[in-house]
Amino acid sequence: MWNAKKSILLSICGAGAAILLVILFAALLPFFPRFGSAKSSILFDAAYLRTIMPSLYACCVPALISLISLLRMLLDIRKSLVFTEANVRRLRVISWCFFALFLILLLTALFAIASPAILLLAVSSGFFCLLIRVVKNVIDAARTLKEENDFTI
Amino acid sequence: MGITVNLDVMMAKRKISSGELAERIGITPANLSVLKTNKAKAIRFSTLEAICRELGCQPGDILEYAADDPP
Repeated sequence: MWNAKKSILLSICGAGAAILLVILFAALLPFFPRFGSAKSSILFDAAYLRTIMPSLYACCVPALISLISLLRMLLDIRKSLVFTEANVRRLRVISWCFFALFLILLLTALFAIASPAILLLAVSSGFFCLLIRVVKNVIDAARTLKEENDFTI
Repeated sequence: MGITVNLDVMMAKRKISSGELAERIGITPANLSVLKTNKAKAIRFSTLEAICRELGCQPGDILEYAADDPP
């Protein structure tokens, strides 16, 4: 039967797989033009890749930091440590990572490749930054409530 | 300073151990320790009532208010 424990395990596996994919993506990025032709996908175009590569590598850093924070948060949740100061801090880190992604993608769209898709990704990152900040505030409030409840005798 | 719990003073006067008091008022020894060490954020009326009943005292004998030092 499907239960909360299995659900958390699935999330942990998902986060772990995402970390591996980001590392694999970063490692294989320079070899992308060898895998296919520019006609099949824009990512196989060497000239395009050269322009966008610094941005892609810059995006990998906040992506990895946020995924590692997410994985550590999930490992804590598995131990029933949900409303803790550490999780609030991790959510704050994830929120700042999304803000960094927003800035990187915005600068890429403005100065490197004027692509509506990249601009859309930048706006999405900005929105997620705000969303996670709100979740962080909610968890922080819940943590205060839980602490008061725990110390009410 | 704020509110201070002087439970240990009253317990010493009544010659009652922490374990025995915890059992009589129906809370865990760990929670009684939280209360005794002034780490508690709040105390339920039901807990206060049970403590006063078992120790034969008034809430004022256990709780004490001291004004905070001015900064």
